[in-house]
Amino acid sequence: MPTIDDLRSALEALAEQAPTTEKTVLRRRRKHLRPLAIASAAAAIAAVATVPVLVTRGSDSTPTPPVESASSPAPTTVSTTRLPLADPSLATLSFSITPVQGMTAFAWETGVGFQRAFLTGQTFPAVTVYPPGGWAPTRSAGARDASVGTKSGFFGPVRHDGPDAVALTGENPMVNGNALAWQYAPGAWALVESVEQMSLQQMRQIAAAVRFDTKRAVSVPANFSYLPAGFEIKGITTWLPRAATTTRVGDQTLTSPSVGPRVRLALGKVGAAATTAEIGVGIEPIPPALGNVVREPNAVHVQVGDFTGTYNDGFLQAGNGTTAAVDIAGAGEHSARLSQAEEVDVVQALGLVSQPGDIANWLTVADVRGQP
Amino acid sequence: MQQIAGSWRLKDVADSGFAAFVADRQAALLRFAMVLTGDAVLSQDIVADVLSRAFERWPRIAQTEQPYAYVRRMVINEHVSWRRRLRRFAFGFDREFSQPLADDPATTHAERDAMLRRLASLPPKQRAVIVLRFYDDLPDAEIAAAMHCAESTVRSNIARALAALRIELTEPMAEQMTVNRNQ
Repeated sequence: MPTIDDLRSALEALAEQAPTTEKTVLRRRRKHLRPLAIASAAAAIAAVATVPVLVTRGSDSTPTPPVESASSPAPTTVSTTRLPLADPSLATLSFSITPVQGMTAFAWETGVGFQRAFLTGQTFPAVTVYPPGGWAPTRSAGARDASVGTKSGFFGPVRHDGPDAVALTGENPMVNGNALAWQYAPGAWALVESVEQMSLQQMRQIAAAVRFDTKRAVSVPANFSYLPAGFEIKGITTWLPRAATTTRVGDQTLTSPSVGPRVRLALGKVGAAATTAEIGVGIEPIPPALGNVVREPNAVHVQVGDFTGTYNDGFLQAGNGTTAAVDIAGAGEHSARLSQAEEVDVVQALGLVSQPGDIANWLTVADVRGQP
Repeated sequence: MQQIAGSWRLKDVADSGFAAFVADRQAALLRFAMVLTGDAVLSQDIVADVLSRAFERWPRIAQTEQPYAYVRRMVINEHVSWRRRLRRFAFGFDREFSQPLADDPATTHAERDAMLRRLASLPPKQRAVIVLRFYDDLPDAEIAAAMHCAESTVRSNIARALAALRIELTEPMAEQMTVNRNQ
């Protein structure tokens, strides 16, 4: 049986695997192109321009720019068909949310077997809608009955036991957030969650603001003329443009000057479970005011992969000189990752729409076809 | 200290102390975040994000008694928040995968590997108290301050986490845990 000393030893060993400070600077942009970023894209870009400078001034070593500007060989697979979706439902959002308690949806996600909206607000509420028969929450003794209009459900602290296992429980004192689950149609559940505590009344108001009578096509700002063979899209997350906000989380105040639209695709092996998606492609149009962060348009910057994954990024130019930052990252089991060359191919083969900062110009997923 | 549209003038930065803080503490924060998350990429992201936010409000942070403790608390908050939000992403492609620890000679020992995997399975706040206690060697009071909770909560969570980690307790520690449970 392990001892406390074994635990200390394991923690020290883990600390030894910490990335270097230089890598952090080089990878500064990465988080902000991933799903879930609450801080704004503009703040991220501004940080690219500021934080590395700070590090430079505070240390003897000068952070180097991304290590290599690579020209890739021609893509080996050219797609002239529609984007390979793991599930047709990825192309269409099947619900909407009217503004409630001053909160609005700022990001939407379609995944295999669920759709989700993220709302502004200091409690980070999110609404997830599952199709009939797709998912049902596990109710524990700590949860209590709660209805949404005439629909029955229950409410309680939420415990996540895995990506698809959400239990409403009163047993875990380490959890801050809670959730309201309700059956919006026979056998079909929806869930309001929050990272921080929300009252049942607040959650009910959010739930009541969910509309299931609207459908909207999911769109992306680019054509994909190359996707790696054997991969399909498992999920799409889209952040809508929004104005500057200040959000308070606990004792932290997050100030987001503005948020441009951006999108992230999660790719996974065809036929594999959605939870094993391992490749992310992020596209983030850069507002003209921040155009000075662009370096080497249409070059792909190759980052050295490490045991945690691979990563490449670049800036693509569209018509009218507008630009988007693009990144592609792989993670997970080695066997399912793309090679660096394949990642470069994906980035270089993207065809950015004109004026990608305007989401109205994006292409609906159902209409995207490869452009050889 | 002048601010323009939420950002400082770069010329002010050199005098702010923030650059020196980053130079002195960034590596330590990365190590802490690595132990906290078990994920090198996530630790990079969290530290970078926290530092960028700390930069925005550095004048206030610098006035605190222990700026490092404050920023470390931001790292904990961010970790808990990220973990919670990421759990909602069925295709969170780059966070929840276990690390190929066996690739590292330092972690090839099966027991350590198992320990780290059990550590990774802890609820984020339990993991945080374990890291603060057994990696940063903080006393209950400082952990409670970092975690915004009572000292008794710290102790009970350490007890739960150690049980989940299947740690064999030495006699004095076992006695302490018994006292805590009785309290």
